[in-house]
Amino acid sequence: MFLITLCATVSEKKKNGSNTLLIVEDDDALRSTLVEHWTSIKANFKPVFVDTAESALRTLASQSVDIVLTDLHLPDATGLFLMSEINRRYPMVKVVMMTSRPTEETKSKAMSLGAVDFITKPFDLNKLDILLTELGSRETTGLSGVIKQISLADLVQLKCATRVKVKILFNGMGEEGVLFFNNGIMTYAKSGALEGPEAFYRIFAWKRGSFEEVPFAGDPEVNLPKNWEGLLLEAAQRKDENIVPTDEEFEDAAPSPSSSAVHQPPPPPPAPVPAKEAISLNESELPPAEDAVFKLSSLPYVTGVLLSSRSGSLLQSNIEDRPNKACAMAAFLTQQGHVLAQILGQKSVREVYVKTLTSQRLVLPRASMLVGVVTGPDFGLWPERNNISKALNP
Amino acid sequence: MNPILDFLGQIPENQGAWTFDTRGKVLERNAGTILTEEKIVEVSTMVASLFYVYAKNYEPIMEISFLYDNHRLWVRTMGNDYVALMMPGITPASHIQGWFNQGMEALAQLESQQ
Repeated sequence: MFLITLCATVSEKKKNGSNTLLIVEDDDALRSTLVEHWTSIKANFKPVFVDTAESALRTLASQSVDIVLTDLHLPDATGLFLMSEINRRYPMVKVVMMTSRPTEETKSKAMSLGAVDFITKPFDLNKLDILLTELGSRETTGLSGVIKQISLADLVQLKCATRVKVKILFNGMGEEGVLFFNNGIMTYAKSGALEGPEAFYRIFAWKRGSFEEVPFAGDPEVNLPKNWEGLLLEAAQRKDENIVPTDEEFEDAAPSPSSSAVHQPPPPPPAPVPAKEAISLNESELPPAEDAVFKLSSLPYVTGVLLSSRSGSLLQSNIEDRPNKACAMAAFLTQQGHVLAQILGQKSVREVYVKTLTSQRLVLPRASMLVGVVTGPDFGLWPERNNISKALNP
Repeated sequence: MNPILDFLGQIPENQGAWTFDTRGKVLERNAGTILTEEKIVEVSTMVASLFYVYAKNYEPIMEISFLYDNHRLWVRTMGNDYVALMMPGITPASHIQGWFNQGMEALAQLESQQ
């Protein structure tokens, strides 16, 4: 049903070839001029006129709008307020700001709040048509929505991985902060009077807060090193070592009710949580992979065997101590191995070995699964490595 | 130079060795490394992060090794820091572990003499 409705809407729009344009303007003379002009040229968009910010928001809530053309000064609010609300509630809508008294500061503020253009009254109607036509034909892609309770670590990784150019405003713990991202790098941080890495650590230490993503034009300032992974690591370690302000040092402010998203300072990236419970190994009628695992578990020096999905879900194991977590960590090690492979210019990781005080673990990626073999910490594992391979590839 | 790096640098066909701290900051490196400074920083950061996350979620790592087609990366804790060694992928793991053990013993002896 949803798909059919969506297709119908798109088809209708393509058939008509028109976009809906919402004009927020309380100057009757200008409204008349625009109506007359667009009627005479048979404009390729459907204009809807309102005269206040409130009625604009009501219209946006009740019908689909592609472009908003708003005056900077409205009877009930500023155009900047309206734009920030539109950007927050309807991020796919393109907003053009117009004013008869432009200043660099207002223009800069409008662009930072998400305006796609800024025009000065009086304006050339033909130029306005060209701008609106261009905006109407500009593809808007991607999903929009609200993410709640995302950690700052996840947010940073997301923005770096997607290589977007974006500015994120933070508000929490009685403070304000800002981060800039550009082409896979976190470039700039500011929190209160702090700038650079210290500002990032400060925001990372917030217990709660909200953020708002706003587009920006031009080249961002740079006050952070390129190595954002290092910054995340340092921030997480500082938090663990309590080299961050305590609650008392923050002005404890409640999060804004208009928050579009809430972030909590995280521990470092957690290992994936596996979904399935442990299943005991059973010799009868095992498929090949499980059969291999059974053979491995019969080797005298092997204290545990696990079979996990690539994402860390437990498929089979005879490990008694936290088998789900063992699978999650095996998946984590393999994922990190793949990241290192990219840095080293290698195709994929073939084997990961970890030695701790209590055990040695060998993780072997095999097709869509991971095989983990556990031995005691002092066992000479490597002379037996071939036997392990033979059990896996009989 | 760090005696461990000196020792590891003498291993035939070694592709480089370096030390780094828990923040991933590179402390020292030997001249033989095939990796650029930038790659070493990236690898160190990743591995330091991995040690941290693993210890946080599971238990502290003493040694870790990654086998790739052309390389084997081996990292071992050394006091509060880490020492990394890159070798060709075909190098037997038991040899690398043995060299690290010898290096650590040599370092311990040196420290006891001082």
